[in-house]
Amino acid sequence: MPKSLALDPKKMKEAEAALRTQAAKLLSEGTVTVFLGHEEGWDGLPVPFFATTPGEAKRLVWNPLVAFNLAKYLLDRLTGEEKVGIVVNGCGSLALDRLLKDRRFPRERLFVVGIPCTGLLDPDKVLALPDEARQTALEGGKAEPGLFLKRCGWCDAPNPVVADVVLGEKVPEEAVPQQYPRVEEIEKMSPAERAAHFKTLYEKCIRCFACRNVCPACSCRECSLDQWEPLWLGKATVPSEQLMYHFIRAFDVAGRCIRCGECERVCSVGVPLMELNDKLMKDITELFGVQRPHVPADVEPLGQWTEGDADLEAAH
Amino acid sequence: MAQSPVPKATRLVKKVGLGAWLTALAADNDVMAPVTVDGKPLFRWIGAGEVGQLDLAAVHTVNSPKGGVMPQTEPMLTYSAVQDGSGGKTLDIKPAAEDRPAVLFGVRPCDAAAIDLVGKVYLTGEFTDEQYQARRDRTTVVAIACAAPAKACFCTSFDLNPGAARGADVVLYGRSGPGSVAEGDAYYAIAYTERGEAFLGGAAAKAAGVSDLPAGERDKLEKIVAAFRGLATPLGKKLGKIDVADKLEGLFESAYWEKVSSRCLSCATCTFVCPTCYCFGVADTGAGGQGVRFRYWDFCKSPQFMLMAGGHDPRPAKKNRTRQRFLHKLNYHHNRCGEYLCVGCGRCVESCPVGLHLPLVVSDVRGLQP
Repeated sequence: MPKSLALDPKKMKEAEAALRTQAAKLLSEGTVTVFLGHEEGWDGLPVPFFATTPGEAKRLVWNPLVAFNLAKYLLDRLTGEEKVGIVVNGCGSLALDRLLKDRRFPRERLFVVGIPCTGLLDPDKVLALPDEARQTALEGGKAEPGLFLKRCGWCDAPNPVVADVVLGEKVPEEAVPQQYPRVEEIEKMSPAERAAHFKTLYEKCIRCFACRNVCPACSCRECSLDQWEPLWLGKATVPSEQLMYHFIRAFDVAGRCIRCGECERVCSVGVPLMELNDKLMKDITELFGVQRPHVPADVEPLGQWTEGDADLEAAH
Repeated sequence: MAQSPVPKATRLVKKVGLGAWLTALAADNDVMAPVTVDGKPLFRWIGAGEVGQLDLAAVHTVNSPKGGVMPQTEPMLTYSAVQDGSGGKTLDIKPAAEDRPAVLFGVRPCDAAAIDLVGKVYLTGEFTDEQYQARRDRTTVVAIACAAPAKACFCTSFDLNPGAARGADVVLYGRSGPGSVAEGDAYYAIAYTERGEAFLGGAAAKAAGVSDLPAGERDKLEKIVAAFRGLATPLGKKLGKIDVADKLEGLFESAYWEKVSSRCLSCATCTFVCPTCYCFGVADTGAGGQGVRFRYWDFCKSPQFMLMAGGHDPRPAKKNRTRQRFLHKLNYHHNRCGEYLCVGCGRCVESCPVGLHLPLVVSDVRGLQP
């Protein structure tokens, strides 16, 4: 587990106060017209929140449960000239950088407040805890590794990679080898076993598109999966279409997935979507030598062409 | 509304007999029941071989059993181009093959009520949906009273409760009353319809050891049923009776819809897990002169839902679509049918990735200035 996972609720509380002050200042000075953050929802879990006045900025929260990546909401604000404020931690900044590197939102219309991250907990798991254990985790910062978001386990970017201002001290970074144990298991299967495995996975899918809609790498103006002419994806929820959906989705984010795992986390029926994403990332590492395939880069393996490309060699 | 219908038959079934019951049923029926798959409780069609996976522990399956009467994908007709004898071609259209009779087993009272509630849309008024009618006519709903309502349950905010019989042919009530049902324990099986009565007297029920009520246990049964019907629900207690239909009349143009919809992901999670959302689309699939026309679940949160040929969209923004979903449930349907299009199952509360659900909207609307 990365050393940065030293869950620090006290530090987060300080960051929350600084965040409210910062957002209120940005809104009152007119630097931004809206600030994207989280507020406390109905059941105490943070939900995405868009503050438009300094008063509303007081509702912003920053605690170990702010799992939701906010960057995708920028796509709702593509039109207009307004400047948008947004708070990001490490992985939140990867999501934001994904959209920036994909040139889906102009950097000059953003004011990014970064907060170094000491790890986040899985809201569903925390909500299921008995009251006392929940308090120990959220206030005392004592949490079993299994309570953290899965993505924390492979996080090597706890500090924001994009920020106009950083609240709080940077946390120490370390190299974390990206490992894909689930992919290795599937790779060992026979073709028949693998086919059976995929069928079991995807016959559960109810095709709600939450995985696609939450994904910061899914940012096309029009999604092929929504098109009627041509109809790439049939409307019937039959195994062939289900597989079509999942393979198209995975291939369309190949090389751009930030490994945040939000697709898998928001899936209500438990489809392990990261298996395919991880497979593609593992391949990118093996074929193109990219050690951190989840980190957006200016020149990416699938966004360029060189004479030494592995696929070219295979073609000869 | 039949809140306390008169029992037509009352039997006893041991918990250990449920597996044999489902196995016997599966021989002649399609059986849908709650099973746990990789830690997630789901309503699924199960074969005789999967009966062992029956799991009645979870109050909420992630999905509702609505797919039992409104399949997510349902063939309506098949078509094929055939030679007409004079060198031309004609279209041969056949209705879709009928499925076997179905048993929806272990349905919670909220979900059973939802089947009855949605049935009014399909079966009353000027137009009867014949395919839906046929499916309902061959479906038996076996409900199970909730021993311990979940945190997000609010059926009691409507004219329902954890022991309600609306929409159910048979309801199973844990013999020891609300609380967990121990191994070796039994259920009172009460039939509320003629179909349910026949079901309890059928061969499959005999295979499960469904027996007559022991002498002298009728008083106890009535107390137990009353105890289930008197159970409170956690979110229902907090929310009280839903009362916003009239108030919403004046809130169509409220700025609230813009505000609350801003965090919506435009996904179908709320719609597809909801037992009372019933909208569908129709599409064809086929090649080589033959194919199938089918209907499939559609969802009003989708940017494609109202998109017209030619490009016009009457609900172009998340604001319009979110308002539609909640006004449909809390106002339009209430105006048309005299009841809300919600049964308080709480699935939207549990499943929405961004916490945008009906109880939240109800409580927000109460605080809005008209």
